[in-house]
Amino acid sequence: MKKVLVVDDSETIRQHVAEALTRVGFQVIEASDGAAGLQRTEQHDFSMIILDVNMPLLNGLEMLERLKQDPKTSGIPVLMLTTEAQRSMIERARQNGAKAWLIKPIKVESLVSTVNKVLLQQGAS
Amino acid sequence: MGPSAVQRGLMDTIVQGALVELLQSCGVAVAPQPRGRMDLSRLHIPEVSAAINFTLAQAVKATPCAGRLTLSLPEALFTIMKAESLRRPQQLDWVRELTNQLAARIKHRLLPFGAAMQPLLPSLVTRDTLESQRARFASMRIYLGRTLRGDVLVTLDGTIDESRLVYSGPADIGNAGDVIIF
Repeated sequence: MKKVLVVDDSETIRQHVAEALTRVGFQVIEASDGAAGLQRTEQHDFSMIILDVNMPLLNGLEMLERLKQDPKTSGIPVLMLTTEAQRSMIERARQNGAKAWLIKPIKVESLVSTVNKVLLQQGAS
Repeated sequence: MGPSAVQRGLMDTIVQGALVELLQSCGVAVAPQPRGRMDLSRLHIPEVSAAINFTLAQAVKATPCAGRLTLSLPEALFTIMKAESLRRPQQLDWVRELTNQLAARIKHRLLPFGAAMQPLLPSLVTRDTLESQRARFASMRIYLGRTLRGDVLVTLDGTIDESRLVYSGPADIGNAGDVIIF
C-alpha cells in the first residue's frame, strides 16, 4: 500500500485529505507542521508528500527545500496544498522541485486525480 | 463618521465578496448586511471565533501597518456546512482554517489595487475577548452576514486608506480550487 504524508496545521484539512486518499487505497500519515513532517520522513518511506505552506515552526516551502536537499527524500514527489495563489510563490515551489500546486479549497476528485496523475508521471520518468 | 458607518466602499466589496465566496465553498448562502445600519452596541457575537493578524503595505515602499481580522460563526451553522469528510470536523479547528481562507481571499482581492497583505497564522479567540473589544467596534470595520442558521460576524481592525486603493491591473494569481501541475 502506498504511503502519503499530509502536512497541514489544520486537522480539518488533514482529515479531509486522509479520508479522500484512504478511500482510494492509500495509507495516510499526518503531521501538523513542517518540523513534525520532516520527522515522519525519517520513520516512513513515502510515495508522496502533500504540504501546506503557512504552518508554524517550519513552513511548507522551507520543508520542501529541506526535502529536496536530502538525498533520502529528494525523489519523493511533493504537492503543495495551500490558500496561497501568487505566481511568484508557485514558481518558487516549482523551481524547488514541487510537482503540483493546489489552491484551497479543493474538491476531493481534483485532489485524488492530481495525486494519481503525479504518481503516474513519477512512475513513467 | 467612523469606518463602521460609512457608505459601501471598495473594502466592503472586497471583504463581503470574500465572505460570500468562502461560505459558498462550504455550501452556505450568506447575505451581507449593509454596514452603516448596524447597532454595534447590540450586535450579537456568534459562539465560535478565530482571528488572524496581518500586515498591509499600500504602496511598494510603504511601511506596512498591522491589522487583525476575525471571523465568528454561530455553532448552528456548522450543522449545515458541507464537509467533505465522514467525521465532522472540530468546530474550533474549522473556524481557524476558514479564517485563514478568508484572509487569503481578501489578500488576493487587494493585490490588483497595489496593496500587499501578509496574513500570519490564525488563532482562536473567545467570545469574551471579542466582547471586551466591543467598545472599539466603532473604529473597526464590522461586517455581518445573514445565513439560515444565524449571523456571521467579521471584524477588520487596521488602518486601510481606501483612497490609496487604486486599480493597477490584474494580479498574477491563481484562483481557489485551481490545480497547477508542473
